[in-house]
Amino acid sequence: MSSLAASISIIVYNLIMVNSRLLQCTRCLLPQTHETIGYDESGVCSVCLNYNEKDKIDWQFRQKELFKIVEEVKGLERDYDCIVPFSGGKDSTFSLCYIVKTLKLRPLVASFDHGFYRAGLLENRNKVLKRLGVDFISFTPNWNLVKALMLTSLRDRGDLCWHCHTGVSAFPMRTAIEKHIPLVIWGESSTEYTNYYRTEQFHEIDEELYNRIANLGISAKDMFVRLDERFQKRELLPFEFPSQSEIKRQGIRSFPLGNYIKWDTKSQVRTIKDELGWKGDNVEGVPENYDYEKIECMMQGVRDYLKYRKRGYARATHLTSIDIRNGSLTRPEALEIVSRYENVKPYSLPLFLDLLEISEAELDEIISAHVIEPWGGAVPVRIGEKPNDYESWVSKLLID
Amino acid sequence: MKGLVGILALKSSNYKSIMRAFSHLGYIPSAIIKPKEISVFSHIVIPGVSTFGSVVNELHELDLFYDIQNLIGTETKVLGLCAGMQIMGTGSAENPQVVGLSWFNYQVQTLNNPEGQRVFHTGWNSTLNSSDLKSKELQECGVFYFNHSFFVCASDSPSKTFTFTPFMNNRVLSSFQHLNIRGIQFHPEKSQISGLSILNDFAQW
Amino acid sequence: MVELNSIYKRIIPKILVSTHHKSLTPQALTTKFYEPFRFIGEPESQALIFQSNGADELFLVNLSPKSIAHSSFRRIVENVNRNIFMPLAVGGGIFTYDSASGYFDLGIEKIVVERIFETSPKELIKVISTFGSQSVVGSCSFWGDEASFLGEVKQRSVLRPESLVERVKFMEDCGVGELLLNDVSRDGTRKGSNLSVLHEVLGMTKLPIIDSCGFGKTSDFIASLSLGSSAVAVGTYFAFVDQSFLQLRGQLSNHGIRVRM
Repeated sequence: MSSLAASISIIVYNLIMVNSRLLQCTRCLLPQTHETIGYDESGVCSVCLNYNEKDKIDWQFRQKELFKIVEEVKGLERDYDCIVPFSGGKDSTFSLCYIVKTLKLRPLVASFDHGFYRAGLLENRNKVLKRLGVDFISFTPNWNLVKALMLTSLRDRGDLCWHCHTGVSAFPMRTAIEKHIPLVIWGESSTEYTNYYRTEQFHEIDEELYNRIANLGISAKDMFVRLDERFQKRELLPFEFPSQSEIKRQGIRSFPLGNYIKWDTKSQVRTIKDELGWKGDNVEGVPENYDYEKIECMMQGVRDYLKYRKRGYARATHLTSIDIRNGSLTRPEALEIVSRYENVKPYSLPLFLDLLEISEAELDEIISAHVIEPWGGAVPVRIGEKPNDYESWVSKLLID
Repeated sequence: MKGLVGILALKSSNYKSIMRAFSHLGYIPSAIIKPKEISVFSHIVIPGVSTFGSVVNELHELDLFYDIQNLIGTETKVLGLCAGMQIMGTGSAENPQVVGLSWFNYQVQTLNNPEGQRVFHTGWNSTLNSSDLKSKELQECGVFYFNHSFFVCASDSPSKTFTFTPFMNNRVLSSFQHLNIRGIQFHPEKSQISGLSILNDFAQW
Repeated sequence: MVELNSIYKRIIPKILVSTHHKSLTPQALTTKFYEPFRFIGEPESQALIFQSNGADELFLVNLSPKSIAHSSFRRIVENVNRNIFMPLAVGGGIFTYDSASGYFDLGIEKIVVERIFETSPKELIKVISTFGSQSVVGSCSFWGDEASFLGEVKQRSVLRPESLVERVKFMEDCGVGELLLNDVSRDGTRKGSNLSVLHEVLGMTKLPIIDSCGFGKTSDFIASLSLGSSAVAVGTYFAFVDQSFLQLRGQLSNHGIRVRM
């Protein structure tokens, strides 16, 4: 982008933000519409404040605790030591690598296929799974149900991804119960990006987290009702998180690896690129140098677009804010990047409107009911670039 | 160490909620309806959701009053919740004819606003420390659910250390501990995580 | 910082229950002008979600006591109460001491009553003398706008605002512990609660007031709580907005409203 164009986009960005009277963190760029945010007297947000907490933690002690758990589990001599929920993105790939190579556990790798995995991601998976030498199972839910869920979730929460949030959480747990596997190890801790829990808390991935973060306030049983009973109750089972009592009865432990090792995205990405040949990809709305971020899903661009429409910020703000916190970007540099990448409509939007059989006007009407104050819900004018594998999305999704 | 917790099964109380809370925490709670059951338990809870008078009268009806009264100074740990704490005193403005357990020399008073009108302390409020109290939880988890319009004044606390909650121009005694007795004005079984840890702390005492 | 009245403001999710038109089982729903609008889930599941999100209190209301008898509703209350550790208030068709006490037996905190003030106030006084004032929420439904659609709002005792004054006084005299204000004309509309009526009632009584009906945006909560309501009871908002309980509290706290975090 020319420097004139860059200056213009910064001016436009600032105008929009000032107009909306959206409070932003004085250190990073997260606005007051971010979930779970608060600000201290100098306007620094709680995510920034919580971030420094990571350094106060005795990670050596935590790693020792992890090794203890590992020894216990190995002693049980089950068919598999643990389940690793896996998408093939950077976090689950690193997790799996660490679990196999460092912890030397025997995992069953489990993937919930939400229907939108990109070709590049599937290639990564193929490579990684073969190089690490692990058993792998995948589950793909009923496509008609998925489309109905997407529409209901969009209407009721302004978010297309209920089936993914819930399926990804529930499937590994249900598998653990079915196959009597005592441990489920996830990737990063939720405290990396939000304040639902404090950093020093050892939070588990349990029903409470499912209810707080994953299911958007709608359980699988609730969704059955919201679908106006067009599907059978048993069809919603793959999205249902097992009850706390079931999990306790089997003594299954489920936690993020990020509880026990210090999460460092950039170095972890280097590891999986070097050791496993993992490759990044371009994502709609994401600056090029973040090619490791959210490469899994065709819907990512539209997802981030909806977030922007509702909350006034999206992926670029999120990523540059992380880099402000770890010192690799200054705030003005971050602002410049954000002004170029946000407030842009994704190229793929018409494809998804086609898939769900709704018009853009209908989408706008739905979104306007979900805008979080004081954000005004500005509609972007610019259209983003065409994703490199776009044609394969069309052929995979529009099968009729 | 998980022990047996006995909860007086008073109709004018929500003893079932308290039992569920203890079960959730992993203990084995039991309802006490007869006097001879009292001696089985290392920990006993006197619940109370209704009025001072209802609780005392029911204790008499069930023949429990004097057996409970004799618990002071014994090995058994006793926790009084809300009205259950209030009846540990001598009497209450709520039901003037009724005599409490009289373990402690306090009279339960009406909660008034500065204009002298009766008010209700309903909702979540913070507890403040008078000074150090044995139970660590009370210092750390300071927000609980209150629901009452009669109270014990903090200055009447049986113990030198206690927690209190300012409300209107009253200082409500929120919790205290003396000998083998703990009194709590708020509802730990209704106070989410902070409340559950109070109950856990009692069962561990 | 110790204030004279330092109590936290409460946000109370409302779980309304009625018979589902297809399955004929009791399900949770939202309403518009007190008529069923959309079924949104299972009462027990919704309660568990609010429990996980650390809600301050919960209202569970039977909207069709004629088709869901007290005995059936008690089962729902029991299942809901089993998994929550916060105050639970139950309402819907409570006209007698016996039905009230049947609910209190399950370990709930309060009942919410409305029509009992017309049909059998003596029963209520009996309840209050046994269970205490703080165990009763007196509910008041009124039609706040000019046009009178009272005829269309079936089977609900919906008052005109003028009659509100009398009703509030009567409820206070009976000895209720809290007041619940419902402007039916705003129910399910998400256009904000009725602040002028709230203001008027605040001037009449010292009882804590729970404001309900119409909450749609964060600013609606801020307006009502700043004006002086002690709590807000909210149904539609949590059913259809991408704003969880935790997120809402964070936003309110950022605006200086004293809420539990």
